[in-house]
Amino acid sequence: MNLERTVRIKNGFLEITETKSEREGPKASRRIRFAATVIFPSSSHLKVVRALLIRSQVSSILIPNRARVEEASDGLRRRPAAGGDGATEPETGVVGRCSRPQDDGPNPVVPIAYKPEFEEAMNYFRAIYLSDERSPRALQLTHLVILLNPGNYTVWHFRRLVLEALNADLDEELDYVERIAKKNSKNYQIWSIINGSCSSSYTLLFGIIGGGFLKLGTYATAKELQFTRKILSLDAKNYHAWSHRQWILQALGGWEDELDYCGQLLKDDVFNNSAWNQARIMHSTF
Amino acid sequence: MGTSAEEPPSPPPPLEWDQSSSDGEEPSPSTSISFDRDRHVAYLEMMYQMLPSYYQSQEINRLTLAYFTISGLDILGALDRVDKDAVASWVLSFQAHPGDKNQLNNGQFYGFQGSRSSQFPLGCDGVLIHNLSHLASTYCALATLKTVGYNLSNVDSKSILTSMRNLQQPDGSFLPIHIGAETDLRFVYCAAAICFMLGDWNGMDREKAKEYIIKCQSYDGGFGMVPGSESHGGGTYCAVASLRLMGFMEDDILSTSGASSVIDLPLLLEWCLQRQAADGGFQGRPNKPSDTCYAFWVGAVLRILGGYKLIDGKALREFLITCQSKYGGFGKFPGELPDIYHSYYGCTAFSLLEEPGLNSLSFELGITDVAALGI
Repeated sequence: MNLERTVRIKNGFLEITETKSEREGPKASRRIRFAATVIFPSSSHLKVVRALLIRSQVSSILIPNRARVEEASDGLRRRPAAGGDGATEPETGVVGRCSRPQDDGPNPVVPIAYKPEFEEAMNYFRAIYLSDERSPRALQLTHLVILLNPGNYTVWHFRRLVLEALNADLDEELDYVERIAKKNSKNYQIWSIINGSCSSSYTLLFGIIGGGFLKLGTYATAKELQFTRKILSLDAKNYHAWSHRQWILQALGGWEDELDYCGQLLKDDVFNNSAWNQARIMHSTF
Repeated sequence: MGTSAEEPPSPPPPLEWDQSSSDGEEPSPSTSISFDRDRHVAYLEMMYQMLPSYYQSQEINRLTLAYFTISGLDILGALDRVDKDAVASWVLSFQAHPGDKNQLNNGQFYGFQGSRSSQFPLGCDGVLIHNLSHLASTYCALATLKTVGYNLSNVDSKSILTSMRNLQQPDGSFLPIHIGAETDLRFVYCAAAICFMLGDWNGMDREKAKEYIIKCQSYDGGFGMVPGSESHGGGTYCAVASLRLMGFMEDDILSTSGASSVIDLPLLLEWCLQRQAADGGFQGRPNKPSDTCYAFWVGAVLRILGGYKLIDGKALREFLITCQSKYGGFGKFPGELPDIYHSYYGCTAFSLLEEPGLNSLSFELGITDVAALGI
């Protein structure tokens, strides 16, 4: 029996197609669609994800009873790394690796009052990250975690690995990142304000594609510049958007229209110091 | 222990912070006209015990949140509220240890991880497979350990410093984490502060870092986060504090006639002073609204330079009081609900203003003088 899975991000939906073919009998195909633009996961959203996690194979649908899930979770619980007690690899069974609770170590300080959905999503993420599963359900899970904690560089890093493994359409991923960034532009969380790492998930993304990005040539430049322009239309002084914009222009050129763009922004707000800075940089560069 | 108060490193400043409560409550200003110490202690103590659920989106920065809370209590002279041993052992549990010395050259940074969301159990043979150590978390970890009086000579500095070199870039800037991200002044600052606190400059090439910092000074005298970026209060702080920590800037340099400087000092001074707005508060960039935290970022720069006396302290104080919350803590803007970040920097700002009853700060390190001295 063969099982084939493809994942696509299309028109704002995450589309997972599972095709099962058996030696005798017809091919059975099932398509699952998820909205990829939900900001806050509802409990029904989580239920769907939970169902996805449990149904790992079309041929054998496992719906473990609660006791078995808890038992498996207990088996997975590990003491913190500080002692270095050489934990063994988690089991590879479907139920066994479903969930990995957080172990906060001795006397936790500044504990956060996590909401149940957050805890549950993070527990699933820990399990999938540790088993290094780069599958469609892993991708969907990264989306869920990103919604809850957009500044989490661990999940963005893992998401990139999953995208590579799935040969995902990176153009569509840019659209996804853009949607997340726009929804978070006021919070700046997408820019990971404190730590700065992955401070632009977008930058991280282009760090991933690297050479691939450069090969896309002019089109990619226009798309990236367009992206920063959209952020700046929401917040004309967004520091990260401006830094990113400078980086693109320095790497790939395209300065010709920049002075006009600055002029436009200054017409809207002559006190926009970011636009003045950009114009000044151009002046000293050329 | 030096005779002059060595400025402790400050944590990397965020470029923006906007943590508003989700419950839609109407913000109301504090009715107090004085610094409400007891209320701030209560607020920080509450955060120390439990952070409200809307902080879950900051889960990845948990060590930083701990630093704000604990250092904040220290500044307020309320460190007795904290279980120091518990804090030390909790912070140390985030350290990433290499399996053996050879691993220090594998390109990874072996420092502290910032949260349980970026920390994973060891693999087989007790080897650390998933190492997401982060420079900012390492800074916050060491600053917190110093604050609770932990002796840093018990920390494995060699691993931290040797592997930290893997993060420095050819242009002198630093990556915060080996998996890749943006490089900017914040992480140069973290690196300098880490070396300073561990008392060992083998962790970085100071000359290269200095060259990078100089390139970040903008045409208007302030410093951007990267060369070419708009000058910014946080970036300026990172630049000046780093130069001071690395030994490239004398103490109180403005008072020393004929002192030479690697940066344009007069222009920097003017930029800093212009950041005080008509409402008395400090802004991070020209024509941006005044924000509580820049009273520290820019104020500390002026303290380092020896130019703090040139600001209008009374006006600043009045502005900060309007940002003080009746719930304790400080908000970003006047009348806003408090968040842990602005609460911390509100307290540091009052320490700069020499508010009675507050402990003095080491301006470059971002912890109290006492913590910095390691008594």
